[in-house]
Amino acid sequence: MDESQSLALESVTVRFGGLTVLDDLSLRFGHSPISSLIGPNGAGKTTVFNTFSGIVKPVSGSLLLNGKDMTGHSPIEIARAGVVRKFQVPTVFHNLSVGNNLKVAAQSPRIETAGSAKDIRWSTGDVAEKLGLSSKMKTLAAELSHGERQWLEIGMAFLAHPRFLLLDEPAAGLGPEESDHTAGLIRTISEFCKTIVIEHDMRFIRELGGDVTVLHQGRLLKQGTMEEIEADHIVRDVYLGRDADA
Amino acid sequence: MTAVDTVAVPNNANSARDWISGARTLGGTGLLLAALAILPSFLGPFNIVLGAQILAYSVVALSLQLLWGRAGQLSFGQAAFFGMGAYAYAILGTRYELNGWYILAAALVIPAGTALILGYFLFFGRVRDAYFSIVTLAFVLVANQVVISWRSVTGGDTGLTRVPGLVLPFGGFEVDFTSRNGRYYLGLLIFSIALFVALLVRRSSFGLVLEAIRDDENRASFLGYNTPMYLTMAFTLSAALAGVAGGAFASISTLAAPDMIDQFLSIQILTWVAIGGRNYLAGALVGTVVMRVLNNQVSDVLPESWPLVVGLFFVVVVMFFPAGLVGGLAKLRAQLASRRVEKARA
Amino acid sequence: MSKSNNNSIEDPRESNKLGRRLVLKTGLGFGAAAALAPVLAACSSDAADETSNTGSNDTATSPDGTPAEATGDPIKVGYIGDLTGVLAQQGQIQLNCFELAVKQINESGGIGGRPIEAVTEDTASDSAQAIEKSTKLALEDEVVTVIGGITSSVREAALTVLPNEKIPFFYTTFYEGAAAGATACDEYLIATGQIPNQQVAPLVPYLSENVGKKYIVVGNDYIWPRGMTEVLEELLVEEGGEVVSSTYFPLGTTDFGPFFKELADADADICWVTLVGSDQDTFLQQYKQFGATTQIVSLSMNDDIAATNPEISEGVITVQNYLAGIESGNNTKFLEEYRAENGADTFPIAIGEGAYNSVYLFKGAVEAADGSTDPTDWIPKLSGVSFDSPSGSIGIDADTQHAITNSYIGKVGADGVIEILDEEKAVVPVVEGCILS
Ligand SMILES: Nc1ncnc2c1ncn2[C@@H]1O[C@H](COP(=O)(O)OP(=O)(O)OP(=O)(O)O)[C@@H](O)[C@H]1O
Ligand SMILES: [Mg+2]
Repeated sequence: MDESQSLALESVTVRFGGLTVLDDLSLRFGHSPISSLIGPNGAGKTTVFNTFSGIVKPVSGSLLLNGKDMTGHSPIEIARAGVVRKFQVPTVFHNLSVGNNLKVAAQSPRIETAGSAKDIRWSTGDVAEKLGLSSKMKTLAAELSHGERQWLEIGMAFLAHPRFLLLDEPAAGLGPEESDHTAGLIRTISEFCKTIVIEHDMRFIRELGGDVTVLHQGRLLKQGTMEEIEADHIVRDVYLGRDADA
Repeated sequence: MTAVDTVAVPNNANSARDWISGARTLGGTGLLLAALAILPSFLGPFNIVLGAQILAYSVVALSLQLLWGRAGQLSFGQAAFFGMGAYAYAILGTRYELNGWYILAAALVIPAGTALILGYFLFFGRVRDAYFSIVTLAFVLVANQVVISWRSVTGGDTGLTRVPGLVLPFGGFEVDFTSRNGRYYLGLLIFSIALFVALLVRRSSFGLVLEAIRDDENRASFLGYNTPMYLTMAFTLSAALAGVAGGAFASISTLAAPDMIDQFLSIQILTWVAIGGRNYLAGALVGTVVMRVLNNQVSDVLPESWPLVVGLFFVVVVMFFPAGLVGGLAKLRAQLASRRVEKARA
Repeated sequence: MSKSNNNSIEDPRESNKLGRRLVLKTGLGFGAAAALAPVLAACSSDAADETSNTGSNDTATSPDGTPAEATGDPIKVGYIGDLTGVLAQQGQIQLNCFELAVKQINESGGIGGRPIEAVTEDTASDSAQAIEKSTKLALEDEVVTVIGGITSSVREAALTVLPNEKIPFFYTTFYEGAAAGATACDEYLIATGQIPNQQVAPLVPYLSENVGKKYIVVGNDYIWPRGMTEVLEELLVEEGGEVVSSTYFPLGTTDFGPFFKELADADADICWVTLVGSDQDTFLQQYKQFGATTQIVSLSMNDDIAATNPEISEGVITVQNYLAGIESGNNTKFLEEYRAENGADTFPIAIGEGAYNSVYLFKGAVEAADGSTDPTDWIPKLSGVSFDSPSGSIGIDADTQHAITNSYIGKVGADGVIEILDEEKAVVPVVEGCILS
């Protein structure tokens, strides 16, 4: 596989106290522009993202970005290397206007490396337009609706020139229409950077396309296309069965 | 609502609006400074001196606004930097025949350097918020103790009196700030510079990142910002401003004393900023002027109970205008504007 | 937001309250003073003894013998002092005394027919505030003189502003004199409180004779206590006495244990205390518990502390330029009028009497200068004025512009009343190298 476009965990174990949350887990993203990470509540999905972004330090194993060992690097260094995320609970700067939120993200420091070809400089105005927030540039983020805040955070993450964009439940709490808008946004973004999405909503994941990774109790259950996953009876048993019709 | 149907505003409309608001700020600032420049012709001698002091105090209030309002870190140490500036000025001014610029530079560099070192250890050591405030409080207590104990240099309890006024050489000629009006214009000079710096920070991406850190430091660091460094820089800049304010104050008042470097002054500075509105640059100025004038007037009328009155005033303002006087006004204006819009719609 | 650093007075009665506040405030220092003073004896003055002094506090009469109402242009006189903060109690007493003098003078013809208009300002024991208020008195109120001040830092602050505006300042608190860089010699400074040679010098010979010559010193760690020890040591050279050890504790000390060990080993005759505020209370408490019997001499003791805390104050010897127990018609009258204004159980203290005297000395000098309030006219007249004060006849020394006062040595009795043991009349202030005349 192309090492220059990959984000991977190798034999990573994460423990909180006595609880093993990731259990000798090896994962690799980057082969497809959009990947989805699914699994039941508590499977360890957010922990995978936390490990990617340096918030959680594994007990053993390593974190590789484009083949380079980033284990033990600080969140700031990892962010600068291009791994940017959107949190499960929307996290924006509440007392800043939408425009300033986008501006802070757009001006965030990056390590400039050759080969990040799609690193087009987007203006905050263009992104706001894509997000559907152009008319709210002066509005405080605190005054946005939940959906708008989700989009704002996606837009911020995107403006931060990611190589890998990690989106933790971007459609959580959204109505069907908003959810469609979000899926559209993510598809557009994935033309510019590798995007990894955690979601529970299967309809949403189907709409995104791309490959799917199933996590269960901190272990990799299955990685493949949506069709392959849906065909797998073990996955059905542990997870999809529960809400296959979602 | 869904976003899909919102109308995109062309990007340059924003920048045009920014430009206009920038021009307005600049115009307003210019008017303010011009008014302050001619003010002494309308003031009696005492109010000129009082005005000079208020200008110097405003600078230290601006310095706290920068750190507390913009970066969200409340320092009880502001008087420590103010006092370091004052003592640097007074010690060099009374003992050595130095070029005025060097004295002024010392009043800036010594506090700023101290803040750089202190800030580095605190912010990179993850000391924030209440813990940061406590450490800065401890710092001002230590600074006060040093000043009181180091008698041979600082004059101990009594401090240094009869500090000479400032004389700044510009090329071939000298500007003498020692007369009563001279002292006022020294206050105005450093006030203008500090205001300019504060406006620059407000408009710059540095200021924006500080606000982002104030809102959510983790979020900012996941965007790749080196937040401890930003906070350290803000602390250092804030101390530099406070130090210059202290230096100017020593020159204006001809004095450096231990109560210019203690926790009580720190708390006063804090009340000025809180009363004006810590999130507003104008708040620091309004708060300082209101509190100093009030302090002065009330202490004349009620020499025995003025602290009580001033204290009550503080409590009332903070209760009814938690965002300060300027914050309260801004809210009122926004409400009036939205009522106007509603009326227009109806 | 008040506080005080500095030196200057300590005072009495309020020491409990003061003490609690003191603990909250690091670095507070009072200077000192307390003291006792030299007493001098001045005169056996009693009210009946009408001398030709200018400014006696007897009711002035117009030439035809009726009390005159002051009607001319008012003369503005500023009071500046510590009306809020740690020293508020002393400041208030000082102000009360000042106001009493103003009232008496205005009711009896003013100064050459002109009433005094008092302008009162609070320094809150804060130097910056003192600067601001002195400036206000000078430039806005345009007072012709300022009276008051407790802490040394406030004195220095006032002396930074007032001389520039050619406004004389009457400082009414006992202080460290020229020690430690304090300003003691300035043509615009007039001191009506005592300096070390007036407090300590009369006391030491008395102690040599009646108690002993071997001293152990305990004080707070700042200028005033150290300065007082220096003066003591110099005096003991002549007396053939010695200071066996001196220990200084930071302000706010709660355990004086280390000193008691020294005390036990020292075999001293006198324990010389220059602790102030709550530190002195704490010390006296522990001294009593420790069961020590060495005679305590405290420059910070006075009627107020004694009356508030008689159990621990009993037996302490002090020296002050005013004590409530002074027996004279003037003092009886002064106490009466003071209490009529301020309450039956109140005590004026030395710094208050100094303020009271200052107003009368100012009146005398201005009248001697044919009513001119220009300081270049009346300051030279000060040394020719004498005033029958509550503590005896006082005058101003021409060279130093400090008061020539009596010093009273007293001892606290079991009832908290300070009994006067000895007095020395007219002790002349000594400020090395100061020749203002
Ligand atoms: N900081 C932590 N300390 C202790 N336990 C934690 C911590 N973070 C996560 N866990 C535990 O680790 C397990 C996995 O959590 P994680 O958040 O990764 O799950 P998830 O797959 O994202 O679940 P969900 O779908 O509910 O978001 C859970 O049991 C959780 O309680
Ligand atoms: Mg999760």
